[in-house]
Amino acid sequence: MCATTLWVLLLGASSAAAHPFGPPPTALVSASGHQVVVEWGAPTDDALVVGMALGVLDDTSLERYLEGPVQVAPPAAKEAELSASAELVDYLLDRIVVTQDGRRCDASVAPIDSFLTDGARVIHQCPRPVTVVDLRIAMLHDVHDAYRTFAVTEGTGTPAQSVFTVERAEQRWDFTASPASGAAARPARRAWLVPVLATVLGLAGGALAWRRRSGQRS
Amino acid sequence: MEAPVGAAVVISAGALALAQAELGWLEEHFVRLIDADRVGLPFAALALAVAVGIGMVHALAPGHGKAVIAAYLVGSRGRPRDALTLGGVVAAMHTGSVLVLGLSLYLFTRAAAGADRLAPVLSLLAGLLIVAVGAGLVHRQVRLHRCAHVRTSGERAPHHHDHDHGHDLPEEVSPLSRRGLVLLGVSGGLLPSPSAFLVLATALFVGRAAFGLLLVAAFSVGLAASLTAIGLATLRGRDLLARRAVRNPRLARVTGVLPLVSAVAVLAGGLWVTTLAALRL
Repeated sequence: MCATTLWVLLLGASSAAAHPFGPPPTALVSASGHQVVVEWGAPTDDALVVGMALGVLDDTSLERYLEGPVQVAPPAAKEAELSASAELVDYLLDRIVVTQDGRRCDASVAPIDSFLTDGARVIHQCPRPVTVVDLRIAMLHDVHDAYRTFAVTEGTGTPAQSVFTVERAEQRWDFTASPASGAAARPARRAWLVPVLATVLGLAGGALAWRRRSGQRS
Repeated sequence: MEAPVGAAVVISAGALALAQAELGWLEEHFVRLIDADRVGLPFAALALAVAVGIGMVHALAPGHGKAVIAAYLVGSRGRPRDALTLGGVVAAMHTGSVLVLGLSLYLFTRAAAGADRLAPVLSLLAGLLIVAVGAGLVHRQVRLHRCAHVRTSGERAPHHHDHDHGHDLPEEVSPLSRRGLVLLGVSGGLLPSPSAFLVLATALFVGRAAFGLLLVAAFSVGLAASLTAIGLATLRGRDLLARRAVRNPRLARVTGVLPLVSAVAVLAGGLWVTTLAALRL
């Protein structure tokens, strides 16, 4: 392999991660009384995309953040402008919606200190005490349909966690505070044991086989 | 010799361009495999085959240390089975790495917004591993060159020396090869492919952990297959050059220093990756 080809391939290796694939946006969902609170947050690159899509941030913001050798975040003034913008509030209220008995709950956005760092908190005030509601999280689905938000319930709720994709942007969420629903949610959180054990056993088996073969050769 | 080399370069460039152009589309479809409503046996089998194929194409895009692997195999006088081992270690490491990050998102969702800060840390680690392997290779090649020089001088003017400077260093079984292979494989698989990470995280969140892990493992096998093929092609090219060098003294001089140049390339590549990652920390 010639040196030029080597270097071309090597330089390419530093390119930024594909987008929107990578660390995803997340949402923490909690309910209490008449209220459902959704805390939506995203890695900086995805938060920048929101600002760009709303026209508040410059179109090159993402490129400057991802492509250069050093990550260049927007100036503090620009970030503050995004965090305080009416466009961002409208977008959040349009994309994060709670419906109770077919009626949309009133919603407001808590003051945002830094959208890029902390995300946003959307507070929904429903007419009746919250038990079963329909939750819609469609953040960034209008930008690219591969975007998905990983949501978890804080406190009691079923499901305990879910993923909001373009196809499943609206899901029924049950906040009934019964021990049964909490217990039902818990086994699902242990689902990680299966892949962990499988991978550990697979890696250990592979390493042993390799060592044995190496031992036989030497 | 120019025709096959030219064809190889054209094919490689074409494959690289294709991989880069189609990667977003392929990754999107890879992630969608885990979103399917019903997963029967035929669908699962087809999905796994597709995942292997997407992993193969993914490996052709920039990343995963292809150049470093190629340079390492030349610099360490690698054998075909070394290329296979490297591919296997990358696949295992990649699957493990995706699993760890997917689980982190699953278990610590609140902290996940900071997960993008992890990528430079992993890149830094991968770069440091390459630096370690590269430094070891350069050290070994310099020793070999010194030995060769001493042997050549010795043939002209025999001299006595009782110090140990590695005349008995076996060229066929490199002392560095096993450690180097593992370190490079670990480095190549340390940084998870973003789409594989999303597949496993989605699988964990929607309760399809086993299917998700199988998809990621299949993707990693495809990734390893491409890396191994590139490694084997590199070794074939090296052997081709070596055979022609027997009749061509100028080429012989080039092939003589090729392992050293490759070793320096591995070291330089590691330093480059490390520097870029450090700047992004």
